[in-house]
Amino acid sequence: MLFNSWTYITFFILAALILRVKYLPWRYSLAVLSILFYISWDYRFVPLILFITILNFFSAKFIDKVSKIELKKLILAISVFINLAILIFFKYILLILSMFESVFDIKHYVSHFHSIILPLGISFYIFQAISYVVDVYRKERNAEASYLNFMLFIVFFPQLIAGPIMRANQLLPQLKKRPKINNNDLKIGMSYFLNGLFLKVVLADNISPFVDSAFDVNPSLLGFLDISTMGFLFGWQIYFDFFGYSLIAIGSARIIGIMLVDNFKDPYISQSIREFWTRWHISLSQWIRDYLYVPLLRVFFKDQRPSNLNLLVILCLFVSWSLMGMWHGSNLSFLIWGLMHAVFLLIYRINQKIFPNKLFKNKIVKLMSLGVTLYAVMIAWIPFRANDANHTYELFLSLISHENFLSLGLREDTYLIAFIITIGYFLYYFVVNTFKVKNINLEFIFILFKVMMVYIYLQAKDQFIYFQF
Amino acid sequence: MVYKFYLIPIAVAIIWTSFSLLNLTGSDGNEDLLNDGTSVLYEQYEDIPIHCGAYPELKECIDGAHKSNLDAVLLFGNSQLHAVNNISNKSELVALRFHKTRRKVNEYVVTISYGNANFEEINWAMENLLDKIKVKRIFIACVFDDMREVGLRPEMLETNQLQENAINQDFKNSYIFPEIPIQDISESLINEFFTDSPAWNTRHELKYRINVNLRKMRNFVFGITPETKRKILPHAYERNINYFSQILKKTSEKGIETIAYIAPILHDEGIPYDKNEYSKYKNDIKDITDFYGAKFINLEKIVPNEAWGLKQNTQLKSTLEKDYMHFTETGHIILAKSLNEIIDG
Repeated sequence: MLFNSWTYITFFILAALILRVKYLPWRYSLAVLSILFYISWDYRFVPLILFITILNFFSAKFIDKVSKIELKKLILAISVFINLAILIFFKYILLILSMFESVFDIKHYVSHFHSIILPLGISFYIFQAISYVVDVYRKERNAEASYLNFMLFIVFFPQLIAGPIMRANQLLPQLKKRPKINNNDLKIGMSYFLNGLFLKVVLADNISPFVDSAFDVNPSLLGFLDISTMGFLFGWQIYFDFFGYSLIAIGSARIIGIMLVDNFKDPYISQSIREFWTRWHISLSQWIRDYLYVPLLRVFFKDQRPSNLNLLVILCLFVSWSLMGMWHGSNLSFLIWGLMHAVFLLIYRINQKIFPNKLFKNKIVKLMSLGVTLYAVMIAWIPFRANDANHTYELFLSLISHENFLSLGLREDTYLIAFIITIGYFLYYFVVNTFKVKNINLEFIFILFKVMMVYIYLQAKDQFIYFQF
Repeated sequence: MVYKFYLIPIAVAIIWTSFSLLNLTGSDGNEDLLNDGTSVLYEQYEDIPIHCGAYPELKECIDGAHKSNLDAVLLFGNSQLHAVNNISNKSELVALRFHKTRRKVNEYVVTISYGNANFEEINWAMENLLDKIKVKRIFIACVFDDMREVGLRPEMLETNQLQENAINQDFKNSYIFPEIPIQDISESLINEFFTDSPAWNTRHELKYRINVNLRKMRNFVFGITPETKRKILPHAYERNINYFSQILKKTSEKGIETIAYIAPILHDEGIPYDKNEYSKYKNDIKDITDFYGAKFINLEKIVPNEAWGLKQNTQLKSTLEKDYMHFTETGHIILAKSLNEIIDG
């Protein structure tokens, strides 16, 4: 069930009440509710998710138990291999087969794989499971003794479909016993829930038709201004959509007494790409850093600290970002998106090397950095939203073409909305952070407005963008 | 922003109560025309719908035509066909008048119209009709304004999805979940549960009103009036022209007589279009109709100025303003007569 639906609100209220009943075993109730939540999407993948829990639970147990380091390594390798094989099978098999299609005559076999559907949330829960096994291998934690606890760690319904990707040390201890809920939990949980719904149903879903129709336009009829606007508009849509989802997930968990990590921290006010990635989809970027980028560096440099511009370091950067892109899907345009960010990060590192640190403390330079970072990030959303690599190529070609450079080929409202949201966001950010007003009447007016808008606009129609990953 | 936890439930209660007390109709403001000047009328003949929009009404129109066993004449167009200014109790629109006249010669007129209908939508409607009824003749109203519109409206997409799912039960070729059946059931159960609640039913109308007022505010800020010249959008124009060609290609392949007419528009103090663009548009439509052996008729000036009415203000004012697209019943009488004359020569 979609978070932005009356069904989820009803389900969640009932779930929260059931979990408060003292006579019912809390962990079992949560497990049943989580599985029910997953069944509401598609019952066919319940065995798969249970298999993932069993595989990783026992892998970690064995790693913990055996003393020989080679054996530990072998179990870890097998476990990670099976996890990734499952992920690759569901996500990339068509891409892989189509690559071989031109070399071998396998058209007939490829057609069988077209019926494969992506199990919801697989990219998220497999990453979560892998991080757990690796943590146990690294001795950052002990293997969990109870299967039920571990299963809950994977299937916990508020974060099952699209994260935040939690670490075992953050979530597992909270799932071991019934949490005590205080007013603060309810206050934070309900605020997050309401704000998340507002971002999704009032902002993201109302921007979505403009984005869809803009990306439907033949790129050759568009120019620099059009494509820049499309990048900005989709940038706002995906932000409100995914941030909204994350807030509902975190809010739902908090209301039942579980704390999830924040996934977004005003990413568009970043003054560098590096800063952006400490503020956007934080749980995924940290996962990539801790379980991919840093281990890759260790392979080449052991415990040394190489220069950021060392060729091997740059190679690790590009490998990590390619995989970050491909994690989102088998479409090559995701790879382009990942590589664009790798290039941006490389430019950032070069800038850090060339220019003195003092320069970046200058207010005008800060403002310019903000503008450049914002534009770079927004333009990088173009391949993320484009239909495929070819569409991306055509859009970028039009972006730099002098032909329609300043022409306005989209519906007038598209520019207006992109402009209003961009200005509105920075104004809102400035006002909220400058005048920290604590007035209960003003607060109540805000709540009334948000409740009213959510109530009017809520309908279970538009999926969250990240559900397809 | 983190709120005091009790404020949200209080806000929900206040919103629910106040919405219950609002005396709204629950209508979703059909096609943006629910206003003081203009009314919407989808016609029936002997209690059978002969004028409709998308599904499920479209199905009733198809059934009616099918049962009559007569040759069908289809009339496709935009809100000009289902809207009337200064309506009276006995007003009859072009759909009914045209239907009545053709009925005398054993032809069954079905009118299909949507607000701001683009050619992609007309093509969609045609595809849903051609295989289901025996079509003899098709009229297509060509409106320059609608060349700015693209894509299918949600109810059409929903119908496509339903049809696709019916054929495609095993979700072949779908990468992500194409439908959420359990949620569909529960959402409709929740809807049913609250069906008698005024607070629940006012949501559609409030959403409509918010959207209309946002548009009015935009028009006010940017000084947009009915006289403001609307430029073409190259991509939308190209797409519509392509769909128009597709429509004519299909009808020509099926041997259906097709008539494309330039829809009437108020010519009071000029028209709200760029003259060059409008001329090019008329030429393009004519060229395509000629290419496919269809008939092209220009009816842009058939409705005299006095037969055009006034509509709700497009800005934040309460006064009515010129309506360039919709006429009074007199306009409908003239249009119906012209369409008949085209057939009868």
